[in-house]
Amino acid sequence: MVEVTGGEGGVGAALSATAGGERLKERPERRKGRPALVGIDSGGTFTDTLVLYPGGTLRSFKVTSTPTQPADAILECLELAKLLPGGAFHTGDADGMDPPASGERPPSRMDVAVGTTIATNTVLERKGARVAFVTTRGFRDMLDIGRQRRPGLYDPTVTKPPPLVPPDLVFEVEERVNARGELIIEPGNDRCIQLARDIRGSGAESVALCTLFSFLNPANERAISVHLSTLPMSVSSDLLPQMREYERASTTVLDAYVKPIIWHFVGELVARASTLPDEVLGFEDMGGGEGGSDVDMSLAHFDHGTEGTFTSPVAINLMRSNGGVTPLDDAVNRPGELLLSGPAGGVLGAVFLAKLTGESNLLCLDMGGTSADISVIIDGEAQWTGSGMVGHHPLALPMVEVVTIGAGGGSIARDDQGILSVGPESAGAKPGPMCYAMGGTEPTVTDANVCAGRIGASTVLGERVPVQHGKSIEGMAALASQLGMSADESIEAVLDVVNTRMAHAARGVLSSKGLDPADFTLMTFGGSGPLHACALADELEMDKVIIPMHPGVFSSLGILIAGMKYHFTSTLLAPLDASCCTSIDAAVEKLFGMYREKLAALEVPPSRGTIRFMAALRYLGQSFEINIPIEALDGHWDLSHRDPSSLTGASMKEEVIPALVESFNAEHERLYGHRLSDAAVEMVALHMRCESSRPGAEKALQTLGLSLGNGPHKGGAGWPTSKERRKCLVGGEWEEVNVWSRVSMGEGWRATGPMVVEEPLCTLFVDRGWSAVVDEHGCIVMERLKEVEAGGESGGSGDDNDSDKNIDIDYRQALMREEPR
Amino acid sequence: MSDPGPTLIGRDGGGPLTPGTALDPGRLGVMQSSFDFICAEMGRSLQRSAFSPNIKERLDASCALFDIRMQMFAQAEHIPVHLGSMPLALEMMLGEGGEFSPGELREGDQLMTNDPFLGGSHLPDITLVRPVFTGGELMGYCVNRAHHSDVGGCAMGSLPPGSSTIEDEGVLIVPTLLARGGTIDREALSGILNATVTSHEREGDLMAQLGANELGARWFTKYGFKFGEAAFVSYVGAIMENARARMAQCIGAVPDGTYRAVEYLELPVNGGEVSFAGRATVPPPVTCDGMPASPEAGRVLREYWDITGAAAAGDEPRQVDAGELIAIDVSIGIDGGEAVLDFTGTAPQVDCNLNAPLSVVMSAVNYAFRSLMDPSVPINAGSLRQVKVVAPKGCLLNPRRGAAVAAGNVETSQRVVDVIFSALAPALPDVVPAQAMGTMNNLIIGGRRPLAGVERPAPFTYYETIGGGEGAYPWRPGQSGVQVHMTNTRNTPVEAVETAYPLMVIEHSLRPGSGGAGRHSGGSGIRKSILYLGDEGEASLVASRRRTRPEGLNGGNPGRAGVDVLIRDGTAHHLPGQSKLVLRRGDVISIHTPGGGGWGRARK
Repeated sequence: MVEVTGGEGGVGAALSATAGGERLKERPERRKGRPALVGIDSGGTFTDTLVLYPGGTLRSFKVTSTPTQPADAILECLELAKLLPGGAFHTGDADGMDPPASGERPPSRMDVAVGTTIATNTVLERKGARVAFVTTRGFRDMLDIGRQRRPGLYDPTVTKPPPLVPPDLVFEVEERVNARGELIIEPGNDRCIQLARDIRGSGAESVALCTLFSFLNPANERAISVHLSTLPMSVSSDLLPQMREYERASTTVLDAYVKPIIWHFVGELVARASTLPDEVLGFEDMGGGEGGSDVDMSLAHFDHGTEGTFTSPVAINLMRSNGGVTPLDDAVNRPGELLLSGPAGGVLGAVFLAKLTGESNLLCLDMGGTSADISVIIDGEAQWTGSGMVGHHPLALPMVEVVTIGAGGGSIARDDQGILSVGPESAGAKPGPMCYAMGGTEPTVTDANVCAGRIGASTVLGERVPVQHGKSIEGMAALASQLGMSADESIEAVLDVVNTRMAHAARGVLSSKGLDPADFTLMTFGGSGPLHACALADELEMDKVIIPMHPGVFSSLGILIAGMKYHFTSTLLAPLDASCCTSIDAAVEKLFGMYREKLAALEVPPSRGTIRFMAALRYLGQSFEINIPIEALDGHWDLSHRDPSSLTGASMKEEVIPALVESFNAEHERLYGHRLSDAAVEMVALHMRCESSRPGAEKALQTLGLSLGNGPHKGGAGWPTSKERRKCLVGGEWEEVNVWSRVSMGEGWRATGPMVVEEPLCTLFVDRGWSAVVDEHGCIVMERLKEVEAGGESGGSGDDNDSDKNIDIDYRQALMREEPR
Repeated sequence: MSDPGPTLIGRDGGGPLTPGTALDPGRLGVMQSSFDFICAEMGRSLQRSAFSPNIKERLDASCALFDIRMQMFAQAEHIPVHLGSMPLALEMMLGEGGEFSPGELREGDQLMTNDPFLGGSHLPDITLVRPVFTGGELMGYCVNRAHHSDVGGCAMGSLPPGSSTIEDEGVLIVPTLLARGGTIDREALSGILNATVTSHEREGDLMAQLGANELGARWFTKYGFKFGEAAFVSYVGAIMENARARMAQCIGAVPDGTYRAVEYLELPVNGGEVSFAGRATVPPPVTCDGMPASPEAGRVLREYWDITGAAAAGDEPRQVDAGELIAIDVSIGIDGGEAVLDFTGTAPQVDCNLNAPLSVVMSAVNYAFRSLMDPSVPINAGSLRQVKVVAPKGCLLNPRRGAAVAAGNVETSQRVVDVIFSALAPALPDVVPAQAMGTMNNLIIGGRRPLAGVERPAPFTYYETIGGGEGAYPWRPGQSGVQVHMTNTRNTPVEAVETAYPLMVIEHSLRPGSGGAGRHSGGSGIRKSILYLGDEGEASLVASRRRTRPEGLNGGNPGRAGVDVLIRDGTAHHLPGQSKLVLRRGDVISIHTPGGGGWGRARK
């Protein structure tokens, strides 16, 4: 039942009416108005918000983050989101703000998704809970030894971070499970009671429990855990039932380390949201006939003693590392899942645009101030991985795969005794590039862009300081004289070096998957990405680039559209042959059990979903697995057909096995250049990935594509003339180019480079030889012009072909698939 | 080959590095980034396509690019034992008096060798060289070196304790064309494969090496000549000159003079063979696949806890053998930004596996200078030129053909770092750390996994190098439980070990108090105890710092020496640092790795 701790009158009344078991049944009738969808990306400096109103109006704004009280900025955004579009604005900067569509009314409900870096920052700043770590006797130093590598191979100033658990909070238990999952020694009851007493006396605020082989048999962990239930607890066999004890323990400790902090954050978010008075929220009765607001503003039961249980307002969801959102009450139970959610928003936005635009293979580059995040969309899907790091601590939970390199607008350019280096060192947000005039003394990539005329003097950057053009020129001139180059040469050189670094990193990401950039479309976003888009495409020999609408707040778009994703894993470690069908069936049933349990625990479960299975396979004796889909087990479910509590899986058919083995052999060959047809294949684990839209969000999302393209000039009321002409450095020469304002561009707008397109938080440079078109979704699509292609530079390629002609041996399969030029 | 007396490597070959004309620093930056990318890409390809865990997981491999003068201009080494160890191999293979001449190489050729007396490190490290052509003209070479966990020899893992000749250690591959014009020479290939037990894995790894060089050559021709072929030569020269100047600047910061130190290395006795009476009186029953059954295995565990819990049994070092200590002697002359390391006082080569070929010595020297000077200075022919090494032919650090060298790479190399650090400590008091544990604690357990109804079940080999204590630095304590100096390989997860082998790891913890006390204390060693559950098997241990200790610096205490124990019938037997022994079911082998030395006098 729901306990109301705040709010009065109407809200309270509405709550008691919707509380409890009736909620589900009544839902279809009670929720008449469509919700406004809100995506909030709460980063270290800014909190970006994108709102999609029921009438299709899209609005974005930015407020300054409040790192000490992370809930504040989020609540501020919620208040702003409730205001009618076009109405009075608070502190938020309008970014590509649209006037409201005709007939748009204030939303009656909000469905909110939040991506927050609070968990990540807790670890990076080492401000988490005092965690007690409980493990098998003989392994007390597991966290300290780790994988016994030193992080600085040659550099003694780099050391491994001390474990998140101090030595006096490590507790050993005499217990053992063997590699077949048999209990060798069970933990004694007396020892467990003593352990509970010791932990209570230790001042620990949460407990992480990880014993050997608990992923095969959790009995000992469970036996210990029942004695420790008075503290927030993370148990490795629940969180990550997978082999490799150190990675599992580290993940469990990370979860326990952030748990009390996330509980506090969520508790505050819920409590404070509930005290927002109606008039501030501006709720109106949109439901027609029902008293009071129909906002799902139920709050805020929060019990520190056991599992956190919330009934949350406005359906607030948190973004997780796996690229899905989950309601607050679920998120607090596994806060470790939030730790690497930072880059997920941008990737999800790219996935969404991939579907809209029909570009199913995208290479995404999110270039900000300090770093560039590189990710890949293949066949319309984000890639995921199970091995990440947070502040040098392994985190083995499923996450959207992103590779980060130290190349951003703030990357510092330096003379390394005659060789120009750019990054990875960054001027960051403070002091920032020299053009911020906030104390930066070394020129950066942004300064080079300013000097090249690509970032205009009127542009507002970072901490909202107008660009100090002179500072950039000063810095670049000093660098140029050190390098013995002309000023123009040094500008181009800085851009060349940083572009080369990013291009190589991107090529590396693709080649590690056996892929070639030529088969991909480049998508760049983030504050600095669009400035480098054409140069990167040139370097990578790509012919098409997409710059999404709202590139500066693109992550919040991804968060806004995010669905609910749940990953479950069962370890098998069995040879993949006909005999393993039974164990696969058992694993499928176990995984479905986990999913049913998850759905039952959700206050408002999704109404339909898709389920997909992957087998983690390897040749017997290998140490890395390849995930191969088992389509025969995949399925869709729908509430109209079945109750989620009755979900069950298909059973594995023997005849599927040979095809699975063949798929694995083929993928191994594609990735690694060889297959071992006669070697035994081992099935290490079965992964189940479940995905659903957020309940109630599906319909709204159908209109989003339309909304994105709904610029003010939609319909071609005449294209704007360029707002100014400016001198830019293009291909080593100064040239006067058009500067356009993106806010005024509608579908069908077209021009060819060189030119600059400006918007409040982002600048696009279109190089010579490229055309740019605004498509129906508001994206700028750039394509390489044909004539230029024909006149392409550089020799030597003919020789390549000649010299390679006669080489045709099997090890060549290890090569990239690269089209002969 | 003739015997030229003392070998001086790092001599000025290949003419001046500095190009005649001023070069565009931006393009240099682009080229440097491209060359780094090519090497990294070769490494990635090798790691992805290799078959053995040693390359895939531990990335015991390195990749490099050379110009036609056989000057290395870029490299990605993933562990320090490979640092700058390849130039010698190329020079000895293709230089004057070499097996091949560059003129006879064609597109698609790949040369192969592991000869420790021609620039190799030890037999498991196989080096592949692929010439790169453009327009029919030789432009340079792609080279990679990878550690193969089996190249034959008299013990599993090709790291036999107490080997006395190179023949004991496996197959020696003289420089050979493994591929000719893009076609693999099957005969050359099968020559190697036949010598090993795990030929399938070897073939996979060699294919991965070939593929990595092919990929490197592809990128080399694509990116290397971006600004033209003539410019390539100048840019490569400038990149090497840049590294040379930076290294010279670093060395120039060391006061000119001669610095000398001597360190001692422990020799094994009796080839490391040890045996003990007695047997595991009541072997714990095992299930049909070698897993310990309950509750008997539980009893062994409890016994172990009783023994170790009582008085940290076996942790106290004890004199177990009286093998000789031999000297490694270095005089380092620093003169105007150049260093000459003269190892002339070093002991003659020995009858065991501790001889270190020159390329290993070069790696250790490069590691020492790079980590003391500036880790960001690229290692290429330019930086290598500032550091010269003199080692008399026939000494421990430049053995004659035929000597056993298996442990030179893993053990002697660590002592070479120690001696250089000791020598330079007075010159660089704010930089040089106390001694680290100084060994790689190589443990190999082999045997057969019991299987019901199978007469001779398949053999298994488990190989692990165990971390220990790092020496304290003038500004911080040493790290505990890490690999030090010349290696940085990961451990195998306990759950993976027990899943794959009839072994049970019953303790894996830090060894409290093993780091030397000091203002900053040394890091702790590791205690790893493994219960053997197979049919009769054997264990090989190759380790040092068992009879000497990692010294402290500037008043810091030494770290505790390593201790190795076999627990049989509830009794602890101490083992020498190099041991080879028969294992019986129920035995526990317990390795206590050394702690690091402390730095500075401890405050009271």
